[in-house]
Amino acid sequence: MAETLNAGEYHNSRVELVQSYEDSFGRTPYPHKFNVEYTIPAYIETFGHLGNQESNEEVTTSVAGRICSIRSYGKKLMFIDIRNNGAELQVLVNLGKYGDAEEFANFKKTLRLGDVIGATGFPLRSRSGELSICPQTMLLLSPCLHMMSMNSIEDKQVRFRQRYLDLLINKDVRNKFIVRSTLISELRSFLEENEFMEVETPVMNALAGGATARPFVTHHHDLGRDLFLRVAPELHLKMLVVGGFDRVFEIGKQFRNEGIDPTHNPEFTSCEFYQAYADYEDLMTFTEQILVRLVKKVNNGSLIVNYTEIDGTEREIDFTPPFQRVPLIATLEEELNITFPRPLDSEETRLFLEKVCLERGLVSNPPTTSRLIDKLVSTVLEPRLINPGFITDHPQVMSPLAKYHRSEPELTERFELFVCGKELCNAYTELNNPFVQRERFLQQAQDAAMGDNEAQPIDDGFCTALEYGLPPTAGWGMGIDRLAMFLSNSNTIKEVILFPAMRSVQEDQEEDQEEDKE
Amino acid sequence: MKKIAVAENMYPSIGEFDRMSVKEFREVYQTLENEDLMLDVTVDICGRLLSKRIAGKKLVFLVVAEGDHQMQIKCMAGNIDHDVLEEIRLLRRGDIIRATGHPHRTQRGELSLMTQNIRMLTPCLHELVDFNAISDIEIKHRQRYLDLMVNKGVRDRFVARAKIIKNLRDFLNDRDFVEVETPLLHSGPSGASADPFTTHYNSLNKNVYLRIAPELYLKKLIIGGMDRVYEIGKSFRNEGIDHTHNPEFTTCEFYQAYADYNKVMEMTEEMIKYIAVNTIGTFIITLNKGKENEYEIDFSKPFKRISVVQEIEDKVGKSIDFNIDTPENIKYIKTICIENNIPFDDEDNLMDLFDVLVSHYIEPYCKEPTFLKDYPVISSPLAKNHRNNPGLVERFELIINGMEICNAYSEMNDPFLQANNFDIQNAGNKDQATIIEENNYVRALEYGLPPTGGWGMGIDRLCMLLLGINSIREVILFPTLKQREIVIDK
Repeated sequence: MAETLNAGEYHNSRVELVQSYEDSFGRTPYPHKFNVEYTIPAYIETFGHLGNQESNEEVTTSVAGRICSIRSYGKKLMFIDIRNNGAELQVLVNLGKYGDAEEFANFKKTLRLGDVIGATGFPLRSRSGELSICPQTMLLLSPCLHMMSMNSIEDKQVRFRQRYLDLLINKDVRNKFIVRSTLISELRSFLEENEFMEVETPVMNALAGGATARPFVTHHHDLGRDLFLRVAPELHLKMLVVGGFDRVFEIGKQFRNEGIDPTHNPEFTSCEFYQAYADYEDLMTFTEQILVRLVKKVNNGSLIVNYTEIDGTEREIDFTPPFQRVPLIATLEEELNITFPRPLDSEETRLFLEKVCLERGLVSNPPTTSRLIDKLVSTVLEPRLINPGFITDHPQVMSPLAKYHRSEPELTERFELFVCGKELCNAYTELNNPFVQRERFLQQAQDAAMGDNEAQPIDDGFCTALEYGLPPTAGWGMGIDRLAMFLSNSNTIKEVILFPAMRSVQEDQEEDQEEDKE
Repeated sequence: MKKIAVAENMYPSIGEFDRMSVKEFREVYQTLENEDLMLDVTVDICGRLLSKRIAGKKLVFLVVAEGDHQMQIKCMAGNIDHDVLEEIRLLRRGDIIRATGHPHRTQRGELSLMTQNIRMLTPCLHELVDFNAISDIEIKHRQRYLDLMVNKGVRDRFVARAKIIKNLRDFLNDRDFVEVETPLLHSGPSGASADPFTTHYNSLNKNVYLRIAPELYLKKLIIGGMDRVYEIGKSFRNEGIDHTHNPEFTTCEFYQAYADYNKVMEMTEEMIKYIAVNTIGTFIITLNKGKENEYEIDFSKPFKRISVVQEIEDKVGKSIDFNIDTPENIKYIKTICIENNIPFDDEDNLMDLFDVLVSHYIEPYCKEPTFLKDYPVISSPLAKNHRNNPGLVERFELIINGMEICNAYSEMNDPFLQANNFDIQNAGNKDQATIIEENNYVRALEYGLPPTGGWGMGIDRLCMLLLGINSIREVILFPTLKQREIVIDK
């Protein structure tokens, strides 16, 4: 009568049962090995041909899984549903077929929802059409000591802090992570088919370059020095192109010492690749190919993806290429009916932009030109890009590692891919001129002096590598978590990270209360 | 550094043209015969200039490399503008160039490009030393790109590493394992014993640790019903650097529900053989190649299996219980060491002494792949007790060439015993964050972890082994470096 106990009493009674199990039943409740012949999906495939009430008593086979439903029918029957690999199977326990009557009785008394059991018996399909296994013996493999309900779990604290429960009970969660895994695997295959080689660059470095972000810092005892966790693998990957690896990629974790929000986790997964002798135009086309391949793979072959935003807006995102192109400066000037004073890196321009932003209630701290333009882009351009679109030709002040545009003064050959208003990819023709690169690093240093703690540090070693000659190269990066969000219809990043960073329980509760007020 | 007048147009854009890779060129035009010249075909090749040979006033031969492939570029006055020929004389080894011309096989049989035009794409501003001329370890590690360009075998080594990892993935994917990612930043370090790296997460105003191992998270996924999972990624130990240790290193861990350590042992043997044959093309690896003490290891033979405690007892001729953590027992074991001339440190505890005896009596004889199994209980708080001998755990290590490559066990899934093991381990010396993490894990176990086999392997070490490399820093592209003391001024 477990249902009448509260969770604490239930737990205590299970603990008691398990601790006396060996004395009561002569075997451990945590046996070492049970030979499983079929996973449940494989069992279904193998014996699915059986018709109603048909059985095959010649065959003895074995399955195992976690009990997700259990009911008795009189003294001689038990119907137990077990689950593994996302599929369920009925264990039709019939006293008439079961080897040991006493054991049967014990199981009737002790088995509970959540227990992991193994069953050895013959396949059959029940009268009602349920494919089943009829066991001659069963074995408790691992008991569940807590009350389990198979109703869905809504509480985010439980779902994200005890992800194993979320995976067990909430039906589509497992699928989301299969989708994620498939996306990464497919991306890898696609790149390898295009002759890219996978490499690993360091997570800990003397400098945290390659992107604009605040880094984590740690300390190595033996070397007696501080090290930074990487914000991007870019600089090392380009050094490998210098070294003659013309097509390299890396899929791995990056770290940004920033806040948690629906699209940011302090550690996140990205893919970056670099291709010698390509430019950003080549990569825009390549990006379209990549997305088409990935979307089709997880979306039943269709390029139309259904997606619900965090505010409830339902979207149909169409990944059919070609994706729209939005040149950054030209479009901003058009939309805002302004003309940026040139040169863009002048104080005059900065003041101009500060005024433009202020007029729209936008503030940036610190108010560097780069950040001010970024604010305008976020407000004016990004939200328009629901279907995938490229914002292109970013100004040099925003892009210290991108090559100057071959025809447009002060701009770079850069693009960012946006989907549903969120950045998915960032790519450019790489700056391979070491003199210009050093100047850009100096400019970043000026931003840092202005208080921008995300400004990129001067990396002398990288500049030296450029002096040895980086071929004309294009590079690309994509946020894998964000891609997984779009393709699993998840509106927060926590849904696609198995163990997302969490605030303290108290802080989360305070935030929930605030949201409720709004 | 050479002084060159530098203009922005010395770093031109790639431009619109159809580039043919050197590899493709060699494939497509391999049928050309000596002295053939295809004037009706124009091809563009790009690559890094490796050598320039001036064969008179009107003839220059260049060799260009792209990736793994090289080819010759022939610059002959008559086929090429005088100005261009002059520019060619300014080219230096290391420059990245584009050559336009016709496919041609020389009189001597060398497949070449008879060039009409050469453009520099990216200059090399430093002198690029000759083939195999970089021996300074500092340069090799700090400027790995030079090592890759210049030294023989370096590039191939990292190509092979990529292949090893790919084969490992294929092996697991073919067996229905799902690749997952668990956090690198942990609230409390656990899952193995080592000093962690600490960092501070500003927005939550708390300290977090770089993971020592992903183990506990992966087991939570097994509890969550993902029956076969694996993860390939970095783990971190805040310890010294030597030829088998880098502070950040790559491991693979997998967990399989309903498997035990015997099953995992079989899989390991299968896997290592699979990777070896698919990466290096043979079951036999040669160590110390070319040197006097060269020797071979043959992977095709069945891997040996040794019960570790039993073996030590046989060798010393006495019975030893490594689970009794008392001064008397420790003294007893130290005495055995002294009697057998085995050095140890005075501060060595029970487990240290066990390691000392294993290192002395067992590991040196493990050149051939050997599974060491059935360890003492106190060595492995996360491993399940042996089904026949409660003083041991169902754990094994795979040792090859005296080096630990894998570590695996039947997983401890009894929450009461696990809680007990955590309590004993490092008792009194654990920080709050670790205790919380461990309690979280025990709580997860209370929901029921199926009998599971788990496994971990050091990928860097596997690469060292299969590629015959002695230092871990030579299989890692950018090993962790000491702070630069002298500024190298070229």
